[in-house]
Amino acid sequence: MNRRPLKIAVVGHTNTGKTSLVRTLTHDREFGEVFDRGGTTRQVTRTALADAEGTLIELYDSPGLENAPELIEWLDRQPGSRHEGPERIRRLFDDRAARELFDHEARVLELLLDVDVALYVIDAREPVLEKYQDELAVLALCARPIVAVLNFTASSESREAEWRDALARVTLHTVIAFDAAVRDPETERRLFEKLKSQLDGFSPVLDEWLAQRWREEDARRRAALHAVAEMLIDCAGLVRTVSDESSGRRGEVRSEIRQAVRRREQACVETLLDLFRFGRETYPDTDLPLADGRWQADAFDPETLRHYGIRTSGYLAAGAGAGAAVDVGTGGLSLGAGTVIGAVLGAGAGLARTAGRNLTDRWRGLERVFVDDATLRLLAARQMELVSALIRRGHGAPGVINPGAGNGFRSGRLPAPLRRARHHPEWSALNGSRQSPSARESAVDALFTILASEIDRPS
Amino acid sequence: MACDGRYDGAWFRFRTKRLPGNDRLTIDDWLPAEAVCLNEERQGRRRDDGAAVAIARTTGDGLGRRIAARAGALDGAGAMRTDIARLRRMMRNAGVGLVVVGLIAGALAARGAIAERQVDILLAASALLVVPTLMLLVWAVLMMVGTARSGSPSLAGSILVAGLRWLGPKLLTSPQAADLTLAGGRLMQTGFGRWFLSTLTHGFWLAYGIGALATLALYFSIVQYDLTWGTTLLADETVIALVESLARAPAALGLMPEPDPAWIVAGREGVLEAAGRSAWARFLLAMLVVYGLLPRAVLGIVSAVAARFGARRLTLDTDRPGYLRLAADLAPDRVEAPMGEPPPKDRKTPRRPRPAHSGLPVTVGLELERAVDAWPSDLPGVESRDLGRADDRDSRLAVEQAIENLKKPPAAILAVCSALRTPDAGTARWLDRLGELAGAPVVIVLDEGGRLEERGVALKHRLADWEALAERIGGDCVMLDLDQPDAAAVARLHQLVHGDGERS
Repeated sequence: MNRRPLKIAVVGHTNTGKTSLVRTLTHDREFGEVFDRGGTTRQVTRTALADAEGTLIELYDSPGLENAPELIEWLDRQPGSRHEGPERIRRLFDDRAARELFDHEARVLELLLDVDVALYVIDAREPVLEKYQDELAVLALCARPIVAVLNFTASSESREAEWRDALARVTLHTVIAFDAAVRDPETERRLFEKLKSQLDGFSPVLDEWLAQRWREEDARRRAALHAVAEMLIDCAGLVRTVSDESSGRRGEVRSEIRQAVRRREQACVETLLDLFRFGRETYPDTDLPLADGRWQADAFDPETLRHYGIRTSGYLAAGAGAGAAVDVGTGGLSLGAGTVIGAVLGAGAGLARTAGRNLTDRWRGLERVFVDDATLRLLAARQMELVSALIRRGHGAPGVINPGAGNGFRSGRLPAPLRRARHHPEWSALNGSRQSPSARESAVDALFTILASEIDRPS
Repeated sequence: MACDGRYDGAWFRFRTKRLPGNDRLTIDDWLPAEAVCLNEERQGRRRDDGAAVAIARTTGDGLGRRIAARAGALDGAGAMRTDIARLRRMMRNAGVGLVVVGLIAGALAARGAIAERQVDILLAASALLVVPTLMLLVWAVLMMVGTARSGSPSLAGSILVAGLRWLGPKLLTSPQAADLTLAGGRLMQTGFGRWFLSTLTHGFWLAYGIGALATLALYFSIVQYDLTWGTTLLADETVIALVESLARAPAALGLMPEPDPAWIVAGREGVLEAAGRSAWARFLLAMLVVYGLLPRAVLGIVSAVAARFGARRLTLDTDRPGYLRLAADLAPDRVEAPMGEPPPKDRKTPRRPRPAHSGLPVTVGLELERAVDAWPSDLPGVESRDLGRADDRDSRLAVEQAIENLKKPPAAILAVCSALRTPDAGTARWLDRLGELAGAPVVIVLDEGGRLEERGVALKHRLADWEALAERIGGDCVMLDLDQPDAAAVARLHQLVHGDGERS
């Protein structure tokens, strides 16, 4: 197949978000420098969108256009037919003084003559000023297809309709609203579909790139839910044994469990952030339910439960239900081992305790302490909230999150894989187990399926 | 390509697997990667991996290899390598141990089968062959059903994996010993692991067969046995047919002469005559070779070859969260150096002094958000002459014209600009030209700062950019929101226009 890469130039007035758009399209948040200031990008930079077999698309970030009104006057003064656009433009490159005067513009135009299509980025909050129309007129001289990208359309000040109208008047009908800062797969797909409509010859390349994108997105989402499922199984199976009598040791055990859960949850949060390319460094946390990459509210604070609408009072009833289940893993012989039979609240917030695993343990007065159902629900609810926010929102601006994700866990019985994990402390990586039994993997997979159906369910 | 690139919303139904050819790993690369991943899944990502990530990014391989390169370059990778060498030694020793155990077990089994001087041939043959054959069937079933998860398609394998888990942490010394052991268990679940365990299994039973064969041969050489057969329930013909069919394969291989019904009948218990003694001994030994040793030897070699092949073709499940999270950081640098010549330096106009005999300052509005009719005739605290708005070519020309027509040069040009606009070269050039036309300094009055703040943008940076622009054209900039004039800003504007005192 012909795999000449498609060359796309990202052009526009200064500070309209060209580099942000490139970042979003490459999913590389380290690309270029982005400030809400003009003239951050001063030279053309190429970046490759590649699949395993090589580069599919070459994306060119360009310096912002700043002085189109004067340039258009300069071009008008040049001799020759005004309908020979590219020829006039080339005069600019030959004229040293003009080249220096219109440095940014010359770079952009030179680039434009070399690419297959241009994305003209517009800050939709801006009024349709004459200088922007001048820019479009200058770019049109290059005789390249142009797709207008309306950035910041989510803003309340957006003048999208005004812009669409203005663009139509210069016969620019290929327009797409694309908030550059939002990594929204659906808009990204629409953008590439628009490009396809302009570039018949490149539709195989664009199709391949889209396919690659969805594979990545799909893998990312799967991995995110898998990470959550693993964390939940680990926390559900987490258990510590303590003697009835030693009350001092009991306090120690409690804080040990809480610490282990907090660490495990944080590890999961970091995995999710990494998966969605926020990396470890700073990121705009206003659009995520986190601060500094952490949950601010402690998982073991009753207030947090209330915030998520999880009632602890429902716990005892649910516990009795779970207790009635026979311990399948050990053929019912473990006498409620690790089940919540006779589980008592009062082991401290977020924890529950029960008698030992077997008769010997009971006889020796050993007691098992573990994370209670309400806390598991909380862990599920807020990790799902985060996953949902990460899927739907991108590298910056606000979007719609699905606060209902993970809602199914907040009432009723815990999902079966979690209940099973209660009976199998050996599944939990937090118990210092040296094996990862295949039964654990099946439980993780089953929980994953449940989470996947939760996250797509409208709230 | 299998998928059509359509995203139908139900993403979890959409699954394709790809495996680039340059993503194969050896055991020495695979184990550290897996151990690090297991640890990071539990403890969170290592914070000291900057250098390792940088190294991994430069290898042009697939994600799996880059992940392995990172793990191999992390602090403590050396200790892990030492431990992996230990693990290999442990495995080798375990293999040798299994062979020794197999030899002894085979010898004991054979000795048990011929404990008496009179040996029932069929009984002895089944004692030596039934168990290994059953185990062979179990192995075959497990390999076919696919034990990708349990990873121990045999008793020997299970024992080995359990032994590894028990011994591993005791013999390994690196801080990652526990994770390495766990990773070792996972290694046994890979394609390589299954063939490796198969090799061990077949090796064990091969040793068992050899032990038995040697023992039988030894005893048959130096002790005289009466080898007979008998039946209570079956007809003699049935047994003869059975022996004949069993002997066909060994005979075809030349391990014994063609079975002769007369010779078989001669071995019938009670009929006994010792003539067929050595023929029967050879029959027993040949049975052991053909049904015990041969299949194991062949399968052992096949497994060993497959394991050897698999050992260099290990892959990481890069869709696992612990691995996929690294994809972004490890992605090779696809950004190239900026193209073209470096940007020229900004041109700067020297500061313009206020003209000596000046008239009123003039005001001009640029690309303001506020409506034209809401344009104030006067700026607070400064008496000025309004030249109107300059938002397009015509109005700009009109302003230029008006300035040229002034009788006296204005004290200053007050350019009211919007903080909502990003300062650009076009604006700078035009304001510079105005200053030159008028022979007066330009003072940028930055309006609409409040609206910029409503947008959630830091006013500070925008002001700095406008100040930089003012400086480039030899003028000044003052932030003055005309909706809510700030006394200090008004005072500063007054000072800039009328030059009371020294300019700061």
